[in-house]
Amino acid sequence: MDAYDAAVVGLISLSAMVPIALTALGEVLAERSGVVNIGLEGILLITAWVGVYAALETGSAWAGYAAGLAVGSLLGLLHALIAVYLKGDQIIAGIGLNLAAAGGTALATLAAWGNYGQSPPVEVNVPSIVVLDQRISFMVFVTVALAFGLWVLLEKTRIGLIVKAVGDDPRAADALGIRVERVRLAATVAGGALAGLAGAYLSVDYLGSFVKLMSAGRGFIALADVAFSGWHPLGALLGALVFGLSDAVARYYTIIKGVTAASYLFNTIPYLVTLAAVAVTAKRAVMPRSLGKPYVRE
Amino acid sequence: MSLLRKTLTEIGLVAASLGIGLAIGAVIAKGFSAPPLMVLADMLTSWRLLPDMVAEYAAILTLTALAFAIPLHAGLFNIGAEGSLYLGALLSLWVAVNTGNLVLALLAGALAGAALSGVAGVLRVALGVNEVLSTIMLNWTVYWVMLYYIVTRLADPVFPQRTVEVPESARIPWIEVGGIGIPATLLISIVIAAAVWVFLRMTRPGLLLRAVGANEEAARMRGVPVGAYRLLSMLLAGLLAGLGGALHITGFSYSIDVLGGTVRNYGFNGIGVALVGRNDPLGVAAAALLLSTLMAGSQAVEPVYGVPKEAADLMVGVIIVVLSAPAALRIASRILPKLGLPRRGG
Repeated sequence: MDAYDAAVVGLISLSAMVPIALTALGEVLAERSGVVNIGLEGILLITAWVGVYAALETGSAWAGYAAGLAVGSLLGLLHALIAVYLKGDQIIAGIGLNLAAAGGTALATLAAWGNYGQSPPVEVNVPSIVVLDQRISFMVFVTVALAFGLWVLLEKTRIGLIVKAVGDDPRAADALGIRVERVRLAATVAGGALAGLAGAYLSVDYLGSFVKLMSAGRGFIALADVAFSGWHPLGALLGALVFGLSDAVARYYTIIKGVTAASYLFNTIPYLVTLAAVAVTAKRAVMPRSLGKPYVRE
Repeated sequence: MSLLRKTLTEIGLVAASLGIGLAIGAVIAKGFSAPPLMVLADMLTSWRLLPDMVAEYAAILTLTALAFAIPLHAGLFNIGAEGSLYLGALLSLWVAVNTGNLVLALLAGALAGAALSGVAGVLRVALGVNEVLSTIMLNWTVYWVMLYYIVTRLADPVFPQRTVEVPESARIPWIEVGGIGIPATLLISIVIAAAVWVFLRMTRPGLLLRAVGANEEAARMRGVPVGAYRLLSMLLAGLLAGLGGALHITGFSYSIDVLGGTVRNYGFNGIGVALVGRNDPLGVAAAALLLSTLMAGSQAVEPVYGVPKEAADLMVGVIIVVLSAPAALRIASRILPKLGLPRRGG
């Protein structure tokens, strides 16, 4: 890999960072309020599909983004209803959503485009700049801005204090008159919305079509990133860049250097890097104290 | 609440979730302009058309469901049956091709699955790595490694779309039940489910394993080595899922296609089976028969009505989401009788 190729890999990592960072930022917010969403993978997959469908129907990638945002919010709402109001098992609900998403998008792909594998290509008409023949979407900049915005929200505002109070000690927050359920609902819906943006980015911006199971574990990589970041928005951005880099290295060898059987082995890099990152940081991770526990008023 | 009442409530909850799953199936059928009731009827009686497939799915799903249920009894969410099954099938095929020996092939598959699951177990127990994350990462890693070996070492020079086949000497024979041939893997799985039931309820390690899941702190206070039992649960899970892969390759499929479709989704669907079977080994075996009927059914109706077989995946996913929300189901079981519908349990 010479200097030019290294620069190209660096640019690809920025693009590969976006879906993981957006999903992880939303999940940082949701988990700070006490709700875990294992179903992010399913939200990514469903909104990737919805994004392409909307973009193909209207001819505009913006419609794809809008649809992704809307459906992501709705799925966040569904998870919030189960986790917050029905006191359901958050992990199992997420597992179910992921399975339903895999089956549902395959069915929908067949119904809409007549084949099992993928959609027709979408015209990628969003603002972007081109550096060294690599297209950098405006979403790279939006993502970085959102990370700083979320950091300010969580660490410097009253809203942030409330979210964290609800995630750490819902009983005390309740005693102070904070509506625990509503805060958790709002944070989880916002988390779903960001995952929806990430899903739409994957299909209408990054890859330009819907491909079966295209989320490829990114929802789980984002969950790993949240733990890796210590539930900190800027840490999550940095983590996403590291995972984006490992994704870019895999893509460099498979796509730029030509596909061979060995490329299958390069595809394992992002998953192994994620596993290693979580293994190294798990011991000192300090998670929100009421994470994953439904709040039942006594 | 009496034990009988509690059992009836459980049955009611499961029945309600299955009902919602079937309703989704009817909507899908309608969406593909097929007659919903006929599609559902054909799906639920798929053993008439595809008895071998129902038996095989039930056999493998029983094992992957146990691979989810056993760690859950110890308080862990093991999503890794999928990867353990891939690795088990791959290693088993490799050993079968090279030695022609069935016992060695099964052993290799089971141990490979246990080794992979053990990695997640050690990461959790020693470093506190969340097992949901680690097992998903291992699933994807093993998936790509499996594809690599499918298209390289194990590729069939004559049939490029699949691997070489398990030689005759290393295949599990089929059995005949009432004049119908089914793979013997189902018998093996049922015996294993019964053994796991005995292990969890009647042996000391089994009881301690469940004590860890029931109340971690209490178990720790009483001197139970919590970490060791959690690792044991993951090793057993991997062993069974790996064996599932080995049984599937030596008893039914004999080769793996280049996209890995032969071995995909058994692990994930096993989670649904475990939840429907309420994590009880015998309940799991019964649930496996039910859901395998549904899955084979989706394959049976595809050519007849044009409803894609992925319908079953969506239905199982919805069933799991519904089962995750006990409060919702309890509300539903209270409302259903008031609507004049038959009262199911509760």
